[in-house]
Amino acid sequence: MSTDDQELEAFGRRAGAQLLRGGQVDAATRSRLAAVRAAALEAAGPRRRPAWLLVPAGALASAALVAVLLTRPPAPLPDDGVNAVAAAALYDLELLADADAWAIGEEADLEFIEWAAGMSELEGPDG
Amino acid sequence: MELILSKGPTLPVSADVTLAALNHFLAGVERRAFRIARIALRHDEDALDAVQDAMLKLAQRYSQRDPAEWPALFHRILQNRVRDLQRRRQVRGRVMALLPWRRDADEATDPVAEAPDPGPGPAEEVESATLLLALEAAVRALPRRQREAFLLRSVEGLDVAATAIAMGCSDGSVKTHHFRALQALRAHLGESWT
Repeated sequence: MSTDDQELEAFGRRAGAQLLRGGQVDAATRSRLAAVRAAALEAAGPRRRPAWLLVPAGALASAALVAVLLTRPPAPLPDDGVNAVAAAALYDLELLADADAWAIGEEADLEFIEWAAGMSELEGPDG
Repeated sequence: MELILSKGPTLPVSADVTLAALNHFLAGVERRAFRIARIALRHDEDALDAVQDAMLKLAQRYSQRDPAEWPALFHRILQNRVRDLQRRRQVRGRVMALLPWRRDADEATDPVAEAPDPGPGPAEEVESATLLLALEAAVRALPRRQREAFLLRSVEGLDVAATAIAMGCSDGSVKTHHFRALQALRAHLGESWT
């Protein structure tokens, strides 16, 4: 390396050092950089479970209850068919709104839920 | 697109060790990275955005790589992001220039109020600030590749090989760009820096 090249390299080091020395980063920016770093580390951390796995099991059981109630075949209609359908829908809504029904879902006793749905089907909306 | 530096497998280290090493690396590089991005972008928020993207992308995609590769990968991502922001700004500037009401708004700004304020202080501080402003202006005036080579080699302190990875070019190109950058800066800044 020639003398001129060495001088040029030295100039580059001085200029680089000056740029670093002169550029003080204020406290607010330092704080934001630290926050960004924390977010990056969070992103690099162990993989989280997919969001749908975070839904409580009870909620999934409740959803299963809803699905059973909504998809079961309708009971045979009595003569006043229209009123009976409306009554069945109201019954289902009442069941959905019933806190006890959600408590059943929380326990995730799917066999019982299936059984209960079968029984309600046999008994019909009038009980 | 994933950057490929080596064909070796990822490191079989625990997540805690990786996170500690990554934290150490990012803490060491973040302020210099912000300075480098700010010199290129002349905007604090944009510079923070660029550093944030580089940190997140490195953490998400390359945290399992050999930590020796992180500096080059990080700066490659950072340089790409800086370039994106510069392009976006150029496009925005061209679009805004076509809007008459924006032109009026731009003309309404007070150039005195917009001028950088070196602030009061001893003569040495003022002189130092003046030199720093001149240096930053000279660096900004460099062609993009020369500016990148100078910032990565002389400010960040990367070696030629890592700079080549960060810039996406050969070692020889890095040497050429860096050499020309130094020549241009010395010519521009004059005797006070030699």
